[in-house]
Amino acid sequence: MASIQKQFEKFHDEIKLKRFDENATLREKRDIITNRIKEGLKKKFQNGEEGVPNVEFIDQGSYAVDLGINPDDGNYDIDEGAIFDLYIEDYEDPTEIKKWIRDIMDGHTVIPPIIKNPCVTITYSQNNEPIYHVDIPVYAKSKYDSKLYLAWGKEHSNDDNKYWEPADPIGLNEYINNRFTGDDKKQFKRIVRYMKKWKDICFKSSGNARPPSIGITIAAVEMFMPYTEYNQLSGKLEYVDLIALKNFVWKLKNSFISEWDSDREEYLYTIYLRLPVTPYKNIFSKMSKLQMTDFYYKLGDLYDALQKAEEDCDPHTACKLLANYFGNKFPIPEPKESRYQVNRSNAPSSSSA
Amino acid sequence: MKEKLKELLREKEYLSEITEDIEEGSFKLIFKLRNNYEIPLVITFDDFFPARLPKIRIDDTRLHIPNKPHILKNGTICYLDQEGIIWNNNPSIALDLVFERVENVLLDNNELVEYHREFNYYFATLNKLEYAVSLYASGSDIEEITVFTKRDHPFAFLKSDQESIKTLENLLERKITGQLHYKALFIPLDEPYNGPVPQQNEFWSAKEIESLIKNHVTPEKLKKVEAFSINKKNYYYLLEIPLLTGKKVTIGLWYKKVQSYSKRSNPIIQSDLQEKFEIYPIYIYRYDDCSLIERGGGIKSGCNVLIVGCGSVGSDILFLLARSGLKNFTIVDYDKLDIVNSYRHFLGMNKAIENKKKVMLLKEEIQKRYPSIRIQAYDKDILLLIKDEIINLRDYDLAIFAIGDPNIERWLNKLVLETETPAIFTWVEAYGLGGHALLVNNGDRGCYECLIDEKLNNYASFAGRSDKPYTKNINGCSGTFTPYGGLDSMETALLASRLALRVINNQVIGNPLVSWKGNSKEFEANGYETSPRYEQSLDYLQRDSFDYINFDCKYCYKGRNEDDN
Repeated sequence: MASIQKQFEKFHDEIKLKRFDENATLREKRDIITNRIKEGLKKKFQNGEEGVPNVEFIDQGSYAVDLGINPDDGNYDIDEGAIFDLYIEDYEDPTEIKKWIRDIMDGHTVIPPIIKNPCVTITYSQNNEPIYHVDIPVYAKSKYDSKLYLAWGKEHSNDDNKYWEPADPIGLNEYINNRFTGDDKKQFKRIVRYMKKWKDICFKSSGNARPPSIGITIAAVEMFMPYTEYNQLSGKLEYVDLIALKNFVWKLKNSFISEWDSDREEYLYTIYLRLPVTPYKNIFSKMSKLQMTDFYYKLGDLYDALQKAEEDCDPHTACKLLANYFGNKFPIPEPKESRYQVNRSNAPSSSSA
Repeated sequence: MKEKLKELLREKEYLSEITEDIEEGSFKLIFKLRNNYEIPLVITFDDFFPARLPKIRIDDTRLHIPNKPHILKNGTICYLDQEGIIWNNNPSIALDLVFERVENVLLDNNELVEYHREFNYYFATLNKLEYAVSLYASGSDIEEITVFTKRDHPFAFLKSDQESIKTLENLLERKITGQLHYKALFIPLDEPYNGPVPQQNEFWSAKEIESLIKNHVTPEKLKKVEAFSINKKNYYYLLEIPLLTGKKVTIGLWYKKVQSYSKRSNPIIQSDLQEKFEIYPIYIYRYDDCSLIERGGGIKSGCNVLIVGCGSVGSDILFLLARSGLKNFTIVDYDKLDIVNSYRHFLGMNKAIENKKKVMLLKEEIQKRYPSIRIQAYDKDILLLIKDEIINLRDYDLAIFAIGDPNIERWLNKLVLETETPAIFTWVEAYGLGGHALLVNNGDRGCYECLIDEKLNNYASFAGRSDKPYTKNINGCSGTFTPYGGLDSMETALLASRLALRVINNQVIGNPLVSWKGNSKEFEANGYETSPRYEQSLDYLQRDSFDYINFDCKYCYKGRNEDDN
C-alpha cells in the first residue's frame, strides 16, 4: 500500500463545510434570522397580557457538531433550534408556535417560509436558485418534567399528526461532541465527512434512498475507532484515514441484519440504530427495507474499493478507484507514465549465463 | 559536467531545492513523491552516467532513515536490480527511470514481507557472522545431527550417518576422519516468524531467540529441545524458520561459552545464562539435495538413467542431467579419452592427457562437482554388458544412447523394445548440419527402425544420399573422426537432455523425433547435398514430430498389437 493520507486530507479540505466562526456568511444569516424572530415576537406580544415569550436558539445539525460538508448543489442547510420558554400544556396545537415564526419570517425571503413536520423552513435564494435554507425546529418545555418537546406537524395536518414529541437536541450535540478528543476527534470528523460525501455521490437524492446524515454520524460515534500507523517515510506515527474508514465501513456493514423475504425470494438487509437520546427511535426508520438493502450492498462495494486501494502500491490507481466513490473532488496523483518517461527505456533482456 | 547534471536535475518537476553536495558529483535535493510526500535525497553521479546510474541515498541530515526493504541502514536506496534491464541512454530518460524506481522503493509499504523475501540477503550483513554448509535435508522434527568444526568454528552440518560423511568428503575432496565433530540440534519451527529480519549489528538477543523457539514450536517439540541438555564448551544449532513469504529459511547458531559454567545446559532456551555465552549467527549454504535442485530449476527424482556412449554428446548429456538434479547414473563407454577429441568433449584437454577411460574420468569429475550424485561406470562394450547380463535395460527408468553408430543403434532398438524402458537415441550430423533425438518405447508406435527406409536412408538425416563417407581422416585409420564441433555436440546434448527431462516428468506422449539444424554451408562446400528434410524450418524440426513413424514397421508394430489386446 502506498500512503494516500495526504490525498485524503486534501479531499477533506475540499469537502469540509466551515463552521459559523469560520464562515461569516452563514453566521450572518443565522444571526439575521434569530434576531428577526426575537424582534418579531417582541412586536407581536409586547402589548399582550402574557408578555413576550422568551426564546433561545441553539445550533443544531451537522454544523453544530462541525460535521458538515459542502453541498453539491450549493444549497446549504442550517439547523437552528428555537427553544421557547413556554409549556406544551398551554399549547395543545404545536403548530401554533411554528405559525408565529412562519408569519414573522414571511416577506423576508422571496420563497415564502414553509411549515414542515419537524421544523419551519426558510429558504434564501439568489436569481431564483435556493442558496441555503434554515430549518428551525421548535421546542417547548413541560410543566411536569425537564424534557424538551419538539413541535411536530404541519399547519393543516389532522390532529393525530400534530403532537409534541420529546427530544434532546442539546444531549445529542453533546453525545456527538464528547465522544472523541484531540486528533482522534479530527479523524472522526474526517471519516464522517467522507461517508457523507460518499452517500451524496452514490445514492439518489430523491425520497429516502439516501441514508440520513445523522445515521452516519451516530454510527460513527459508536463504531469508528481512530487508526494510526507508524509511517516509515516520515518516521512518525500518523493517522491513516483509509484504514480507519475501511474498518468503520466493515463494522457498519456487519451491523445489518439479514432476513429472508419470501415474496422477493432474496435476503433483505436491515439496520437498526437507536437514537442515543430521547426519543430513542431507529435513526434509519424512514428507509424501506429495499433501500436499506441497497445501502448494505453499497457499503460492501465501498469496502472492496477501500481494500483494493489499500493493496495498491501506486497512489494514482488507488486514488482513481476511490474517486469513483467519493467524487471528482478526490485528488488523483499523476500516473507514473506521465511523470516518468521510462516505459520505453528499459527492455528486459535475458543476457545472463 | 557538474552544471549539465544540475541542469538535468532542474528539468524534473518532481525535484526541488537542488544544491551541490560536498562530495564530487553529488547533489542534495527534495524528491516529491506522487502521493505528495517530500523526501530529501543525496544523488551521486560518476563519470559514466548514464551507462552507470547514480547512487541515491536518503539525506540523513534531514530525514531519519526509513526502515524499509531496499533501503540500507546507511540510507542507500537499492533501487535497481540491474540484471536484465537495458535502460535508455538518453540522460533525461535514464534519470526518470532512476526516480521511478526510487519511488517504487519508497512507496512500497509491505515492509515485513519484503524483508522476509530477502531474508538471506539481510542475514548475510550481520556482524560476527559465521559460515557453514548444511548437507542436512531438513525433516519436520527435532533431530540430533552432526556438526564438523575447525578450531570450534562450525563448517558443516549433516546427518549423523556414513552416507552423509561420504558426501561431505566428495565435496571437500578429502577424507574427514579425524576431523573434530560434535552434536548439533536441528530445530524446525512450526509457526511462521513474523518479526524483523536480523541485519548488520542487530542480531537477536538470547532472550529473543529463546522466545522464538518457545513460541514457534509445539509443546511436544519443545520437550525434545529441552531434552538436549549437555555440558560442553560450544553449542551448535541448525534452525529452520518458516517466513511470512511461506518459504523456509535455514540458519545456524553457535553458542560459545565465555564464562566458566559446568552444569548441563541448553543455552538456546536458557537466556538466563546469556552472560556465559557469546552467540554467533551462522549463514548456511545449503548443500542438501532438495534445496540445490530447487535452485537449479531441475527436478527431484530418484530415477536411474543409463547413458551409453560418453563421447562429446553423451558426456554433455550426463553433465546437463546432473545439473538438473538427477542423481543416479550408469555410464557405459569402452573408449579412452583421446586428446584429438578433447576440444569438443566435456572433460577437456587436461583430462585427455591422462589417457584414461572416459567413464572413469567422467565419474570422478561429476562426483567432485556434485558430491551427492552416484555414478556406476562401465568401460565395456554395451552389447557385451547386456549379453553377459551385467546390465539389464529393465533396471533403468530411461536409457540414452549417444553412440553415433546406426548399426549398433538398430540392434539396441530391438533390445529396448523387448523391455518396458523408454530410450532416447541421439546423434549429431557432420559439418554442423544438425542433430537429432528420438524417443522410443514410450508407448504407441514409432521406433529407431521406422527411420530406416528400404534403401537404408535415415529419415531424420539432413544429409542427402552420398557415396562418400562423412568421416575425415587426418592421421591414418586411427585418426578417423566425423567433422563436427563442440557447439554441435552440445546443441545435440541439450536437445536430448530436454527430451529426457520431459520423459522423466511424464510430459511426453508417444515417441517423438526432435531435431535442430545448423548451417549447411561447410557441408555443401565439401561437396555434399542436404536432404529434403533439411529444408523444413528450424521451428518445425524442433517440435515433436511423428511423421517418421512407419506403420508397416515390424518392430514397434508388435508392441502395438499386444497393447490392443
